[in-house]
Amino acid sequence: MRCEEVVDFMQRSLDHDLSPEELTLMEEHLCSCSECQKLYEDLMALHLQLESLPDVEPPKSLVDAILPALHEPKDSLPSPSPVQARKLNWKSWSYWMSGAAAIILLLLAVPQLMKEPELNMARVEEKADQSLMRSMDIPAEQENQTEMSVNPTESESVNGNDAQQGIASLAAPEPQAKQDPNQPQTHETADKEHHAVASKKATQPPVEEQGLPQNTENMSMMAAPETIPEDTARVEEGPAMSMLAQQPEEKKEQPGRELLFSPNGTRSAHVEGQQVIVADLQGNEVFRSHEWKGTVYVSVEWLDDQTVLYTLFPVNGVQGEEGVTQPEKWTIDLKQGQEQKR
Amino acid sequence: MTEADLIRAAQAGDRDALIQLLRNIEKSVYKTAYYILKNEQDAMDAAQEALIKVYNKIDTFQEKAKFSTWVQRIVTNICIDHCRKRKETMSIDEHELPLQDQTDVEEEVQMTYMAKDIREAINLLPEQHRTVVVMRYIQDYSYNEISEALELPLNTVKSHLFRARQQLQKLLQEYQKGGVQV
Repeated sequence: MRCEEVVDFMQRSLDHDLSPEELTLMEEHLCSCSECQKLYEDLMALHLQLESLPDVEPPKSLVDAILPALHEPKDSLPSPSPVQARKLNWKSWSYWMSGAAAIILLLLAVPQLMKEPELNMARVEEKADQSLMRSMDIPAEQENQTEMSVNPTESESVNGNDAQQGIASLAAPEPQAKQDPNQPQTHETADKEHHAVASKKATQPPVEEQGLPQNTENMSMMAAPETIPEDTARVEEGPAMSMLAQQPEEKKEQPGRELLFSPNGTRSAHVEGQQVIVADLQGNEVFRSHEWKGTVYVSVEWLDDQTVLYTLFPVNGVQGEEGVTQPEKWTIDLKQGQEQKR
Repeated sequence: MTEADLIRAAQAGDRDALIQLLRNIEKSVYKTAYYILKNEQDAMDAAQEALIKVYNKIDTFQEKAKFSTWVQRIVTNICIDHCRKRKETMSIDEHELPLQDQTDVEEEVQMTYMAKDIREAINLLPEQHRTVVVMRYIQDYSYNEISEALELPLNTVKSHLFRARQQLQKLLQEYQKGGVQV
């Protein structure tokens, strides 16, 4: 028997894979070959070390840690499936509502559309549903002011009719895209998110008492300094502004209710005051962003399990306020434990 | 209830049975994650991710496979994903092992790194070899079970395991040659 063959037998013997005959053959060779015998002793010593590796246990129950998430309906649990797929699953009811609203709006808006032949129909349908959803709950005059505050240059297109106003304002070019042509997609997203803020407030049912994490893949919310008094002039500017003032009060009642989970479901991000907070499933804070100033819309998104992208969009309607004046993109790298402005 | 009973109940929609199943496997899931990923926090994350996946995918488990190997496949795949993501972001200056699964890997290991104990040596193995070692020694799996869990041919399992042991020996010997006792 050759030494190379015996080495293979030695390895297999450690895994109890040798037949009695093979074992005898190996032992006979080892008795006659000191080199192989030494090799076998070393291999056996390593094997014993591996067998005595310490048993490890999680510092706390993993199941207990994920139980809150498991109480969610199974379909809405964070899933390791691709991010894009999960975005489509998010709160399907809201998509159905949006679809229905879009159809109604299109019916209302046909005359206006006829006057605007160059409108991009797909874009109108996508955004108009959000405008209509707001119009269901928000007085028309306030709505106008909201549009003006978010996109001031669109004010020329604003009409008294809610539905028409929605269409007209959507047809106008986006001012921010002009200011920063390098990031057109971002601004389009921002615009959608601005609209989504209002529609979420108007249509979402109250969050359950236990504050269970919502399965949101991507969220936007408004953050305002906690010191903004409710009775300031800003409150009068429109629904978006008044929500800015109310936001801190709501947060006190239901802290951390807007949780955004990482793709693997083990981290959550939320906006607290003027910061983005990342926490683990036990609620332990993992990272806290810098504290921004001023009144902003915040868009938060997980790029991967270790990276959060948040974008601060200044609210143009708030004049003379210190802080964010241009849209700012920040990336939180959890691995490095730091954030960076893009 | 036996494991098989719990699985059937869980697949029939019994949440308590499913949670009990997760409790039964959480330690073994964590152990695998810990030895593949090398640190507690990453292991916690990966193990939780694996448990959530088991929870979501229990309907797809078929009894022809062994439940524990099915679970181990889930957790090892998640760990390997973590390792790959980590490699992608890893700087060359960081003191990690920039190893590829290639033929002369032992020499590369031997020349570049020294391990002062067996755990450190395991951490220096290429991920595929490390995973097989973890299945063999941490989960106490047979070749067939490793093959099933990792979806690797039997011969590949043996090859990885044998090569891993050789590499471990060399890593530990190198350290001893350096004049420091393990």
